[in-house]
Amino acid sequence: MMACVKYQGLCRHFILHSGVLRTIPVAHAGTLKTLHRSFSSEEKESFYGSLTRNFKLMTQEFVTKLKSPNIDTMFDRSRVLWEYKGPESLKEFKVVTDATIGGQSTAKLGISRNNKLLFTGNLNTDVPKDGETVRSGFCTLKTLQQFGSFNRKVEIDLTPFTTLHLRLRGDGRAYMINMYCNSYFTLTHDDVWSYFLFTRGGPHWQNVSIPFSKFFLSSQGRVQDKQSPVDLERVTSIGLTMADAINGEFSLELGSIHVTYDATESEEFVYERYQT
Amino acid sequence: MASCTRLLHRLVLNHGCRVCYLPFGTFRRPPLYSACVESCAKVTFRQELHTSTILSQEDATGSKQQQQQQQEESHLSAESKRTLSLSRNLFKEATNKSADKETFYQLIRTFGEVDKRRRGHLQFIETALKYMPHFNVEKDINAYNKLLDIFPKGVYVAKNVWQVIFNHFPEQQTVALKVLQKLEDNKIMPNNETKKLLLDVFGRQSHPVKKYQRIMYWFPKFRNINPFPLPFELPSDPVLLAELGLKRICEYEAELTVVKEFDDSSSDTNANEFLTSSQSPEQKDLLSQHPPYRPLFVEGPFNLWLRDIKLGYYVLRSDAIYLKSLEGDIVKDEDEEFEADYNMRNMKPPSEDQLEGSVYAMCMTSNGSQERLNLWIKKLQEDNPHLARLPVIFNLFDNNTESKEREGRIGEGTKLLKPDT
Repeated sequence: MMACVKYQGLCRHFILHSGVLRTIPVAHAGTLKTLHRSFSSEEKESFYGSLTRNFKLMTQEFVTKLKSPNIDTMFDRSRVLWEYKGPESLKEFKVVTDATIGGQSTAKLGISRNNKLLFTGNLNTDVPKDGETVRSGFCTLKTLQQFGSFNRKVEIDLTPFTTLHLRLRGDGRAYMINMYCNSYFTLTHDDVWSYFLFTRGGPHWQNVSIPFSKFFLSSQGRVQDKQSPVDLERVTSIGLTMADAINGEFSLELGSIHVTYDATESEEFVYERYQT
Repeated sequence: MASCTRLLHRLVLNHGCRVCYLPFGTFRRPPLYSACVESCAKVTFRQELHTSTILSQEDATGSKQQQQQQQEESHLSAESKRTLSLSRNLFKEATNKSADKETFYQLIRTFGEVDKRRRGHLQFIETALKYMPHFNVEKDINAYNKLLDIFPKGVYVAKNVWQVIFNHFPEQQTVALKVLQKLEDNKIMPNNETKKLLLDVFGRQSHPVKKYQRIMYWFPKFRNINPFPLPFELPSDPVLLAELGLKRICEYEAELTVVKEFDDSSSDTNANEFLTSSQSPEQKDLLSQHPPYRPLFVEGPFNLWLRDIKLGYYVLRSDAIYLKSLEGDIVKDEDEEFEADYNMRNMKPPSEDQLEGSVYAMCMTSNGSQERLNLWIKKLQEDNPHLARLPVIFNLFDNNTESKEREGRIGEGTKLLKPDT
């Protein structure tokens, strides 16, 4: 037994051995990875080009629907949402820092020496001098929104699952995990469900698992009074936020993100939902 | 508070409208979105102006702001000018003399005595909030209570439902919210006195009381969720800190050894030098089986954060078993070769974790020089005789060099990257 394997048993979180996941094929429908045009490309698409592409996509979607690949998710007990498989995997993420509001934090995405995703940067809580911003300092890693045919947002259906798992190696700092959902009303467009992610630091990998029921609702950085559980049918992306208000460099290696069904997780939502 | 609540520093507990962030009803009529944003900006701008007038007129940036400042000043009566300068002068003088907890309390007392009607108490509280770090009272709940105690009791309490709906004394409520926000940012739990004060000053149906309730709801929920807890107050002694850090990242059975006395001449200059090392029995076993033809690496310093303290640790590890190409493909031939090698020696092929190479020991030291790490290896050799037969390569990151050099190395651990400038 190696020291690092031993460590897994010491982690307080529920353990899921990475070997188990390997045997499970990546589900086709609704995973973060889909066959779509990457919008980062600069060249403009012609009208007929886009029509052809969209119709092709739509046909693909119809065929997938008819083939009913969801049949295996009915029996699946876990699904890999994201896994590092070479530099292509990095394209599924985007990094947002407080530079968007004039802050001075920096962050970047790269490949670590062990061929895993590496999210590094420097957090800076200096408030931009624009006269209205009061607080600053965040770096966010977020999976890109995937679009279906005719620019429909692709939603990931996570209803068969109860727990989110991450395999990572941090530096002792605390992060946040965010889940973003599609919603109908403008007022709820900024809704984010979050939970805290504590890293142990050190040279060993860490398995973290968080039940969806623990995610709490916040909107535009404000924890809401009226809480509700994550809309698991309409999850659009998952993200990580570094915002612990400590100036300094941070680094986090991410191996995989996956979801599982755990029968012992019977609770839908752990926070009180008072009738108001 | 546990470190989890620190995150709430950025994720603020709600105390306002979803659109404009300000307490509900700050504007008498609910404005449209754009109007709301505009007026929000104005209000905050005015507040900024206000505090900048109080704190430092020299810092005013831009002629536009200065002009507005002058306008603002001309609107002020002679009396309020006096109170403004009073709160500023009080704190400025005190910071110059002796800035401690007692002086802060004394200043609050002085303010109450100077003017019994307590004119300009909002300005005073805001100035006090700005000066709190100077007096080292940010973590003191009594200081916050004393600040809230400045508010007159009963005057701002809403007496009927209309007053509640239309936000009774909005400016006063906003200032109280700022006090509570500062308290939240510093991860302090309010106590019963805070509750009593807020109820006396603003009444049950007010924003500060609601904010208090939110803090009391969420803080205890997240107090104990950190699976890697740290003591409430971190030790200031670097040796104890290093021990705490190493215990956090090493195996549970690992033994810690601390060396404080060094024979070499360099230690004469600094008596506070130390070397803390950790190695578990399992790691010892693994090291004794390490094949002599594969070198060992001493790498570091890697970052470890204990709350806001950054420590650096070094690892003694084997090389990565598979040298994956940077494109992420495992080279097939090597793969089979290694597996055959393992099968030949009746050993299990390595797991994914082991591909990165295994860690044999970790250390923290006050002085990350190669001599000191050499000493560490020598100390390890006493317990691990096999180590003397193994070649050890020092792969130390210089914090001053560019990160490019580090990226090329293959091994385990997180990379320390300098931020892009």
